Amino acid sequence: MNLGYSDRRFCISEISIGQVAERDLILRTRAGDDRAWQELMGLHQEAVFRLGYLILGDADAAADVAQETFLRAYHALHRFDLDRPLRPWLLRIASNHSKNWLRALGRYMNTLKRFADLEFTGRSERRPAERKLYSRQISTLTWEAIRKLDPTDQQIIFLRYFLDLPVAEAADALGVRPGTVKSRLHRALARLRRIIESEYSELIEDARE
Amino acid sequence: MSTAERSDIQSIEALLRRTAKDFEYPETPDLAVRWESSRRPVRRAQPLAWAGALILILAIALFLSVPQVRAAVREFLDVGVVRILFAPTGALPTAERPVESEPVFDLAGETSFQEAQELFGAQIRLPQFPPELGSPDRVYYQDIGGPSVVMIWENPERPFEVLMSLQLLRAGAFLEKVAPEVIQQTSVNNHPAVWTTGPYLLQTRSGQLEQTRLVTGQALIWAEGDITYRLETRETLENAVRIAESLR
Repeated sequence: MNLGYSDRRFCISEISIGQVAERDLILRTRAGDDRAWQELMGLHQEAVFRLGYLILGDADAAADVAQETFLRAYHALHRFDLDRPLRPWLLRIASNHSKNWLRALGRYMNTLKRFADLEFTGRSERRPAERKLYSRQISTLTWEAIRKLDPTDQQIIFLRYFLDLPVAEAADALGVRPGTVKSRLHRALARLRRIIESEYSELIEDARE
Repeated sequence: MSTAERSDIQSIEALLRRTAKDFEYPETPDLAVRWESSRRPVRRAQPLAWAGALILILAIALFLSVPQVRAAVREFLDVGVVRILFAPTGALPTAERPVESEPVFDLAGETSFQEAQELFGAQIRLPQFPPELGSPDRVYYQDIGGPSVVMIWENPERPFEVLMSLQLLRAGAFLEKVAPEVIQQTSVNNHPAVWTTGPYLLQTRSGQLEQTRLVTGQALIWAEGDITYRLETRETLENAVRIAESLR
């Protein structure tokens, strides 16, 4: 995984499609209009792919998950509640499928190995002689700390901070109430704080300067 | 929460936002463009796999086009979407069959029971016998021309060893078995059924359709309504029928 400077920030809330337009596309898809479905895919595929990539750490696996997500969603679209936004539902399918993927023995071992290698390599690069941390190092260390959380904590952090989902949509994606999202997030941040304090104290010191 | 703790949480959030901003994603594949091909089971183009399936179909067609072969094949039996072609004992060569079982985690389409239920579009009934069976350990949804769900029960003492599998198929899916080694006609809930053996087509994670099996045992095939069932088990025929008739 490569953490580098990027001027482009992905923000789901910047997607400018109203609920009415999305509803229309869903209805057209149900009526057999494949172009409508392709248009919906175009609007949401980035979010779905990126969530898969955040969870799995592998572009090919994330692409597979994204493709499978849309295939499943297409077949289940007749049951989808039109009063709900589509994106959280897609992300929930993607999240479940990513977790199932991880459970598969071969990929689980590869993921462990991949992140174990990342940690080792990362640390040798990220212990500079200078005390001051540079932005890229801060992000890399923070990412390392995030990966030490359990998958449930990681997921809520990915949804809220990496995919910028509002609380209501994060709740929908997780299948819980908004209040539960807030409490889970609070616990995840607390656990992340403890990890950072014990293993990445330079991040706290840098942030306080 | 104390002021210091709140301040630290805010610092953590600032770190998270910075990390999210710096995070470099790979380029998103254009799935909308690939939608047509993504609707078919093979996700990663595997020309050889499709060629293999096509060859199999053509071989069967060619096989049956020979007058002597057609004469030798007495009849076929359709059980739901499964067609079983009979042959006189010893008159026709049998196809090669794999010896090993397919590792379960190599099947494509693993999902939750709830999602499989939604995708399948019909009620997925579960066996109630034996009483200690419980819910399936793994569930897969595959589109093999039509909806198909595969449920697997693993050996609790040996993970990834399949004790039993139950596959449900709806219209559109099509399976063909040629000259199985064992065949016996029976019934499930007064519906015609066959007790047979041999491999069948499953989609693996590589995207290939492969002739394989999940259990070294027999398969009970029957249809009820618009759903074809295939129960693969090491149990005897009597117990297999009992399992099949316990679906609720």
